[in-house]
Amino acid sequence: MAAFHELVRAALPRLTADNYRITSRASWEYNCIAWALGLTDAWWWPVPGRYWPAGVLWEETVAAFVAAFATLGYKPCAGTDLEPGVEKTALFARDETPTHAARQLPSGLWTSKLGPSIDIEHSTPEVVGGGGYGEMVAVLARKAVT
Amino acid sequence: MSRTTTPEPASLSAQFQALANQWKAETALLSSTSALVAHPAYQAIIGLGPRVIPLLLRELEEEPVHWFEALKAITGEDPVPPEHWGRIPAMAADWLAWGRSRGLI
Repeated sequence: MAAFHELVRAALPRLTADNYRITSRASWEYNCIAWALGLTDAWWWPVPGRYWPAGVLWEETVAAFVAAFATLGYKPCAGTDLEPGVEKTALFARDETPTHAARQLPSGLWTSKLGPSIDIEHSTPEVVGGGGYGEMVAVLARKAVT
Repeated sequence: MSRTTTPEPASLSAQFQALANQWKAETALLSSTSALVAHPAYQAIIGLGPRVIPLLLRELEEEPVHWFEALKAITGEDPVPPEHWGRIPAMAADWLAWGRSRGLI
């Protein structure tokens, strides 16, 4: 596990021993996009052979990903502050290509699925940026689903 | 049912495992299927050709590693119906059924 922490921190240099923790086992069955939407039953990506919602452009652009999130009720919002009754996700991109998404938990902490690896809980969305995932490019919100 | 395939040469198995381990390590944090498939080690596995198919299927039996694009590229076939796209256990089951029907596993 120490080696995995080393790998994670090398790729995502803002992560430190104090701002994240591992919360699941690794899984090839879902990715960060699904997890940001609260789903674990599919791997979302706009390529043939992976799930992508009907009616959304099959392209790796921020606009297409925002549209994919919109199919489940998410709309762009201003900030990442915790708001009661609101679920927020943050979309990351590198060179304008989407790379990652994270989801805010009711506690105000954030959760991310790292590729086919583990889920982590992290202090802010920004701490998974600055490396392989690039930077946060959109914050999306919807009324909490009970 | 007995298996009718001949054992792969040890060197092929070692080569495959080395490439697979490299691919998994270097893509461990990637969600992008495009990036996963474009990785040089994944492309090198495709380059090993049909001999590697039983190895890919055997790994799929263990866990649903995303060998689907490699299998599709090597075989020129795709047993996964669009309604299973992204449903990884179903995609693995489709490919395993394909392999079993051909005596490859």
